[in-house]
Amino acid sequence: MSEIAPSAAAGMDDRTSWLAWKNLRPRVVPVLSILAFGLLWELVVLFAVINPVLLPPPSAVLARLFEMMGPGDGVAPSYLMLRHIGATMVALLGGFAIAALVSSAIGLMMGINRTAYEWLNPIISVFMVIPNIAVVPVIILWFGLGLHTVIIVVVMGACFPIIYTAAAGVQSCPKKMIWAAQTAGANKRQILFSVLIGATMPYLIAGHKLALGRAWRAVIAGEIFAATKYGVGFMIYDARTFLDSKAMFAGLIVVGLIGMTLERQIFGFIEKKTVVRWGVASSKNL
Amino acid sequence: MSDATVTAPKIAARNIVKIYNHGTRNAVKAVDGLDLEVRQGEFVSLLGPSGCGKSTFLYMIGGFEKPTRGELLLDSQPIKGPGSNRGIVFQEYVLFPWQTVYRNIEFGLRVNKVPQQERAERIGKLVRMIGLQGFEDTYPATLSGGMQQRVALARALAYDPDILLMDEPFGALDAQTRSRMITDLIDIHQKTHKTTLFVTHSVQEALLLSDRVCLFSARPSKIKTIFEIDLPHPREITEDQFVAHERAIMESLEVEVSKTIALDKVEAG
Repeated sequence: MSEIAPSAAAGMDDRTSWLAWKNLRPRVVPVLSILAFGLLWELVVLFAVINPVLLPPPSAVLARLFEMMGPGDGVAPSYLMLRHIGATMVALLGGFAIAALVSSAIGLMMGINRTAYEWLNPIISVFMVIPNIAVVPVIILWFGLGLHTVIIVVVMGACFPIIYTAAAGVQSCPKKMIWAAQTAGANKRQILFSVLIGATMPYLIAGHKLALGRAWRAVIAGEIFAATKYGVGFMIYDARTFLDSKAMFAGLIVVGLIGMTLERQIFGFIEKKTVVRWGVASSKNL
Repeated sequence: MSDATVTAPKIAARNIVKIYNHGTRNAVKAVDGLDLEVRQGEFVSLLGPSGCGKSTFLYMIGGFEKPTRGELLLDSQPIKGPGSNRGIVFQEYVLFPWQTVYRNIEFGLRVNKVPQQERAERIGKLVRMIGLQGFEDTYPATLSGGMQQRVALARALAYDPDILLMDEPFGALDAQTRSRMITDLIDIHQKTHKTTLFVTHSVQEALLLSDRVCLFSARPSKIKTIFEIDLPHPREITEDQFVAHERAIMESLEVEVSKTIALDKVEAG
């Protein structure tokens, strides 16, 4: 990370500019890469004479995005995109929070209790590989359309990775670590809260990270089928009906940006405060 | 204090037998007829070939494993399970990586609900004793092996147990660190007078530290010979008496190691 290896013969100016570039590179290159892709896209639409209804140029998509972000023209509801994003966030974070609480508890219990593990693990292994979108029709059949159905879809998507990693985390706790705690006089409750949860933390974080990625996919899929008025997924699907491809692409950009922010910023922060600080795992391993 | 309590051994093991997978076809007899008495304040090393059951015996005293047969007493009471009258240090340190040095040492005080004020005093004293002042807020992963093992020792001593159990504690350390740790452990033992059981592979380590060295036989093991090491500290490895002890123990150990290798071959083939 902090590699300082310019040759002694190198001039001071060379050295500083080289170091400056080395530091900036990881931040500059991704931006350039995205800009280059956008430019290519724009040029392809422009010169390849593609029907802009099928593939609108990024300039038009961005213009539509800003229009949807703003107070609007009085015909469509104002701040339309923000309403969609808000609805999506409610379903995502609500579902994720429920999954995090319930699944962590189930996973820890499976890690501690061998019988619970033996009986639940086969069931979870099967459920975990069923693509989330496949259960959406069943959930609609049971619960109808609406926000609550989207939330259930999110919970279904997010819960299995958390259960799985929490159980694995508890089981990976070294026996001798528990012995050391027992010898110090810790009772079962103290071992659970002071030892097992701490030892499981890197696994829990990895599981939640994976789960949030799944929840994000689930919320968009759930909204496409089950939302009735607002939601980014709903908006993308709904815009198709009006051939509003600019809005569809604007939705995709929003989905990509939010997804990336959630994954990088939130978990980057949590990891920095925990596993990276403890030195038990680099963020790259998780 | 009556005469009985003075003379009663701190730890008494009588005819201990340990059979793994007892009652199945894979039953393995690890320990067979082990007898040992350890006095209050004594430093006793358990030495023997690999897999001879010396760690198993230590874990039985720790209360993590139960003898299949025999009587194992601590303060004349049968050992029922682990407890805070014992402290344990493992070869792999097993510190809590999510807690700072301070919090690790504090663990036993926290679970035993020792008041904050007293905790801070005791931990301050221990941190000075292990020479880790300034590292209180550091996380274990950034410390060297020797420093981690010092923290593990402090964690085991913090709640002031009667007995210190050490399972090859210096086995993973380099030679220089190990010799420093030995010197410091002698120092700590002379200050605290904890009854200490010390499992090791190293004859020199055992001789430098112990009042008595118990040599385990090849499995199924019992104690073959107990060597009384009546030499003053600090001991010199070049001293005539030290060398004489070392030679005697080495010869005896050699025989058991050969038997163990022969046993391993039979079991493997």
